[in-house]
Amino acid sequence: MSNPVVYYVSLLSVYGAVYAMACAGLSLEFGITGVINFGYIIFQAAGAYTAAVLTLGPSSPSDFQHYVGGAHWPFPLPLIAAAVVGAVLSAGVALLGIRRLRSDYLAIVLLVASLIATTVATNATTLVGGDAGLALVPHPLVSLFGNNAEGVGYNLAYAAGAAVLAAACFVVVHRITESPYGRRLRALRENEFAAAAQGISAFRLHLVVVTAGGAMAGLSGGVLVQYISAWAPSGWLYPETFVFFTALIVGGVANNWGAILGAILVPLGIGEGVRYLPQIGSATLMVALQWIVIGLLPLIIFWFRPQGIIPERRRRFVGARVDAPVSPDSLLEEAELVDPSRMEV
Amino acid sequence: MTLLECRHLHKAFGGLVAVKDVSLRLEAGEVLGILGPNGAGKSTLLNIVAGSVRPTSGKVLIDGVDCTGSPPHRIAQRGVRRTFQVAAVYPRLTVMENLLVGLPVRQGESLVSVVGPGRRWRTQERADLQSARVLLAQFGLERKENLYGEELSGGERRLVEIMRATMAPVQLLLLDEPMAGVNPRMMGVIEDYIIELASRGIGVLMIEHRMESVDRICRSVMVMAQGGVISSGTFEDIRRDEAVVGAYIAG
Repeated sequence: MSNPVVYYVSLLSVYGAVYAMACAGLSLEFGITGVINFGYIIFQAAGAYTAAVLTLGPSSPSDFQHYVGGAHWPFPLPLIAAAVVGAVLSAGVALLGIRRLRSDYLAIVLLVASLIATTVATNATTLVGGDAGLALVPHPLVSLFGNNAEGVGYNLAYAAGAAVLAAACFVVVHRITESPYGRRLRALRENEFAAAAQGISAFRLHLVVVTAGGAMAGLSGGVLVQYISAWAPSGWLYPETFVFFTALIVGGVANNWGAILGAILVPLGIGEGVRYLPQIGSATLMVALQWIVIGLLPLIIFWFRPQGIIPERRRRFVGARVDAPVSPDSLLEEAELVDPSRMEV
Repeated sequence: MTLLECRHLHKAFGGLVAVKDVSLRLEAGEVLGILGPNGAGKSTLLNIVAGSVRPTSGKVLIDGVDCTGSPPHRIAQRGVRRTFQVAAVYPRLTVMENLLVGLPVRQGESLVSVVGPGRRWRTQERADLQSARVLLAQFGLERKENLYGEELSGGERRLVEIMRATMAPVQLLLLDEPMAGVNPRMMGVIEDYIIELASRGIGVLMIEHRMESVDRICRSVMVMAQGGVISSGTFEDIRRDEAVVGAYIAG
């Protein structure tokens, strides 16, 4: 049994969850800590290839596709491996780049790395399938659903599973952000020199954050490839990173809820929304329009609402005051200042 | 033991010699003022001690330990805190958050603990909020704890920076022109605070142009010009030193 509406809804949900995972990771890196990772898509791609190769099984010369390191790992190992590869690769880049380079130069290096990575993946045809990429990636746990990957049950279950993983990423990022650890990350974003004077090691925290973000990117790639069952260089060209950045900028940089909103509005909303527009001109025009919109969005946001739809919130502390004489009108002012729904402590 | 000792520090930026054979000693509880015209190398000296500039030659010993060339965060972790010539508050952190960032990493604040269940850091943070509020009240900023750093005036930023520097258990404080841009009433508060810190045994190295403040709080004074030390002693000593007068007029 297959139901096109359910299938479409679960497809959108899986995409939404994948974007949310990736945006949560990027929110931690860029929004909270200020690391400009213009090569973020590499780590999603690495996760996707890892999960694909580890489920496809060994590659044989007679196969239509060739790749390195094939294996039949059972669920959930390929997804864990995807996250680990994303993390390790990110940590490697961080070790090489962050120690020596200041933020904008690091951004340039990562952007170039992104270009190099797709070029290598395209031309090294036996590495990860070359330009055609990898296809027929098996779906995890599909045997539990009568081997029917097109079935309603499987699609809904996959969407639910992806949503749970996205929620887990969000919780991790949010718990870091709202703790003293996150406060140090934000301090680092604001002024690296001042942070160093407070004993904060920029290198160490950047390394941790980029590794965690890389793990989430890798996991998102794994979840995506096991659902769509194909992966190729054309899906992770360097501009894809800017889709995530646009998502953060639109949703609200430095607010994790904003990152999730952006993930839903930008890649999902614009990507899918364009499909519903009447076809005008050539077919490629619509794809081009999509990129034009994604390019224009940050400009529009920066002009009219630079803090994004959900801005970074001011973290107010409440609690008993000591020593300071409290006059009735200062109490009144405090009552007006503090929004109870946003209280901390 | 001597809290801070600089031995024959020398720093050249290409052909420009910014610091030339500077030696100094600072004991716990002592306030040492550094005077000198612009470009004398005062800030470079302070940056060398803080670890943000590596000296061409010479040594920096903190508590007898050779810290020459250590990165700034390592120096800071030894209980050394500094302020900057242009007050470096975190613009998009509130005043309270600015102060809390000054604290060293506590138990329950590691990545694993903050991601894991519970919020063990909360108890400690409650205590930290109290001490931060006491400090804010002392500087008359208790009503501003929820303002962003960027919403403060220049003088207020300087106060927050000084407060932030003393949130941690600090043993050596490096102040780069703490009075610049501060209104006269607050200058008195800062002076009192520095005297209080020194009485607690904290060593203070202070670059300052305002003679009245230097006279009031610095037990000893060092005058720099063109990278070198041209005079040192008590404020009275250096005021009578003709080399100092000459340097200021020529400088």
